[in-house]
Amino acid sequence: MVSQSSSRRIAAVSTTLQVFAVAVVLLIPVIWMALSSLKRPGEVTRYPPTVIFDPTLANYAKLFAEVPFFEYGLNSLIVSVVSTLLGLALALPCAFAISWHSVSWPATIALITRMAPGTLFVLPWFVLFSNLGMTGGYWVLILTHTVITMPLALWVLLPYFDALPRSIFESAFVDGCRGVKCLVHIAIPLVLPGLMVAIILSFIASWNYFLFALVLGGIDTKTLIVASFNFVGEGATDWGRLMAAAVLICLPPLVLIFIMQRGLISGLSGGSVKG
Amino acid sequence: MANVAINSVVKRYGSHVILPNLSLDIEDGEFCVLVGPSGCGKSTLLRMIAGLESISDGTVSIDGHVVNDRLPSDRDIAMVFQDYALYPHMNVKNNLSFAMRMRGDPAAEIEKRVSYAAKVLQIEPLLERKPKALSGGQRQRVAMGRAIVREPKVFLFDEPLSNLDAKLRVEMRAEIKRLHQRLSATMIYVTHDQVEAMTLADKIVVLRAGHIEQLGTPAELYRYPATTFVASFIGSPAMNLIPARLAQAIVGLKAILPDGSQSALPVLARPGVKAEQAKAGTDVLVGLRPEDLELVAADAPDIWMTGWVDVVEPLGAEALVLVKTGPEQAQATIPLTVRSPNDCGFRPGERVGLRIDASKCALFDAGDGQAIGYA
Amino acid sequence: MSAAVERAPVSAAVAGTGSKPTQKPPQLMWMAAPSLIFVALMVAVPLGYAIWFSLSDFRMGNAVTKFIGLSNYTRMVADPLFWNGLKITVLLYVLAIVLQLVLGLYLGLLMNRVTVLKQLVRTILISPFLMPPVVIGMMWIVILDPSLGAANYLLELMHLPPSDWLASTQLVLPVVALIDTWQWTPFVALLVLGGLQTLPTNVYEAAQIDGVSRGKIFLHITLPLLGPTLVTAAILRSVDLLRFFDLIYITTQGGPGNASRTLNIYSYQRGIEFLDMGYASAMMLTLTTIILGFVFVLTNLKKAVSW
Repeated sequence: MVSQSSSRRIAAVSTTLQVFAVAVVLLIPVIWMALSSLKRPGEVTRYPPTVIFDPTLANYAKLFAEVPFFEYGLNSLIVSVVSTLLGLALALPCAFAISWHSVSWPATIALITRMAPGTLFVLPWFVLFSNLGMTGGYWVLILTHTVITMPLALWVLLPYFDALPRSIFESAFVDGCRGVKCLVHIAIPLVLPGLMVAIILSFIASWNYFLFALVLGGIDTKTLIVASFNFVGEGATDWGRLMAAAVLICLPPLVLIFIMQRGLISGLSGGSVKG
Repeated sequence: MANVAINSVVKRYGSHVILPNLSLDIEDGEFCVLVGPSGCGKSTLLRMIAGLESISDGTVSIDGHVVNDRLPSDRDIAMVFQDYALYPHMNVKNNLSFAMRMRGDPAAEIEKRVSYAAKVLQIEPLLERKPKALSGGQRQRVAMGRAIVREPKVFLFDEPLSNLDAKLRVEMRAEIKRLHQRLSATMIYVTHDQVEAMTLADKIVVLRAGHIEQLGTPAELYRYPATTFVASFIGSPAMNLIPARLAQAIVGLKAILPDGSQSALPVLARPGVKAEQAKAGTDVLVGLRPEDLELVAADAPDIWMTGWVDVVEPLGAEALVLVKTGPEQAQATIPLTVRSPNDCGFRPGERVGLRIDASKCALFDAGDGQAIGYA
Repeated sequence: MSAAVERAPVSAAVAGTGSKPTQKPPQLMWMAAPSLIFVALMVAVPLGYAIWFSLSDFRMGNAVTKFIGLSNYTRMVADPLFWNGLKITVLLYVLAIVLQLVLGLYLGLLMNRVTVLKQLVRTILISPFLMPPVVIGMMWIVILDPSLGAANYLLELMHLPPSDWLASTQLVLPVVALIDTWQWTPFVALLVLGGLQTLPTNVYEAAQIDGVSRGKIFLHITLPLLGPTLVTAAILRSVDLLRFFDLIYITTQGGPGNASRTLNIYSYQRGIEFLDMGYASAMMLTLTTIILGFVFVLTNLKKAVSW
């Protein structure tokens, strides 16, 4: 018969080992990507693959020298930041209003928008924006990415608004603070945690989004994601450069996750199911 | 400062009627308490005065002006909410000054009024704190301070004390009364607690299912309840309602009591009561406050009725004795509460006699609960 | 009021629109107008176009477009590649969702017992599904390369024959499902973890006092109580899996042959690469209907299993 405390210790050790194994499975590919980006051209395609090698930043240097990587990054940044801000500017007052009035249909519409495959919209957009002569510009990417960020932000923010006591807003109305003023002075400070989640998730969603930029982007507005997709085709053997690009594209989302994780999971799921 | 006139006001949610038709005048400087059980429409009425609920029909006037279509902020009212509704992200000072800042009042005036309110409510040391760092009683004070700063025509209170513990509630009750005496402003106060209503009000409005059951001073309501509902709602413990039958009509009413004895009651019919409502044979309820009953030995002279002691509840200064009455002990099912000096010495199950102060009794129609008359 | 600040974490499966009365002054619905106008212009109008495309022979560049009724839909029913796309979509869906729910449940329960380095483990779990799909694709292309990839070297170390991975007609679908599982199981696990932390602890104490064994506690208490959380996870994953696009487009573009050509990939290629937009729209509308149907069924399932 094993004593209770020693069986508990065995359970704890087994838990730790299992978690360690899962972490290894999750991390190894990412670590491999990072390692590959630091290998010399001959090293990266060596078989059998090497783990110990002389690291170099040559691939990163090459990336910036051979392709306008910085410009692509700037494109991605412009599209992500503006579509995040635009999405919030639309979603904040909407979340405030529909939470106050307990109206659910706008949120349902936003939800359906989020569930539909992007291809459904990208075909008509391609036609419409071509006719308007907007393809290849920033605005077409910003507007289409806002179709992703706005519903996401709305669904992240709604529970935060719903959790606020009505009397706070009633008190503000009695105090002569309503509409946009109330949003700025009362609502936004109180949903700040939700706002941060909405900003981070919107930015990451927009930064990562592939399809719209692939179809609607132009040569001058090519985002990092689309540019690196092109590398896959053209540089089938230049793995070092490919992995260097992959590492750099990953950085903004990963940095944001490291900065803040609170609420990200509920934010991601909050927007998808009506409870 | 202003009077408030509520004229034939109706509140509906779809087909659900909360207030069928309600009129009420509140005088300038009056402390009016709306009291009633939950769901009676008292909070809805207050929120309609505040402009936080739409008015389905009728008018609400403040200081002679119909305010139906005015925004809450344009009605010159201040409201203290049940959960205080302090702005959690602002310190006490900013909570107090928020309405004035929104209005764009000059800084000097804001400063003056905030420091006055802080002094009145003794919250000066708390001005830099956030609501989170305040105790329940302090939050309550800040909420009241926020109302004072606005110098409104009318103060509205929505169950402001119900989130406090019993001791603080008594303290803050006195604070609110002091505030009314100091500002002599019109105040409308909603509560479900009849003790608060009795202690605070100049005028109590008892609401039931959306209509006014009775309206009057605390003393009037206590002494002359218009219905059995008011009789049992106001006063603690509630008024005893003893079922009886009239043996003789109007002049020198005589009632047949549950134990079979007959009793003459010096009741005068209420104005407006029709003769057939108080003729012999009518089933009635005799209303007697616990303090108007006296317990004596079963064989004492001049007893009004007999019963059996059920439970004795000593309260320290006095005791509440629950007595059951009926034709005989086995059928003694009608409960009575008697307020008695502590040393009464009665044992449960003991047969006792009851004397009454007949000059304080009330008589109700057992059918519709309306008062027939009072002694 | 501190409740507003120290609020409990926002519940996972949300939408707090309850039964509060809707007509409270002041009227604020106008504040929802900008976003509704935006949705109307950016979503409703294109959707109308997509429906019109699907009923016409619209082709980018053609001068005349005419109404052809349901011809695109009848063509779809007769198109073996449509049925192939549907089959691939459903196969991939079933494979991935089963893997992700089972492994996610296991990992969630595991996480619930973790006592050391909680925050670090959480960060590791959160990272994969917030990485760009393009990067995930690039990463696995390199690892799974049939001739020089690290994966085959691992097989060689274990004395197993090398595999073609994404280039194999038989393996491509399971491999894609596994990559998606690698990326999204942590998400399911974190949902399960959130669900576990909201379970009433007194139930467990009562069961312990009643002498219920740990296995039975899991089967009769934990699992039923986690029902709504698991269905929520299933809904979220279903939406993404049924419209699977990015990873396949980056790694195989639907190949080899048609072995990974999901409905979404096939429609995209018909629409954008062949400019056959009427037909592509018909297929996309069909897929959207299928997705919403799944969500509808699962949402009702969630109501059935909620406690």
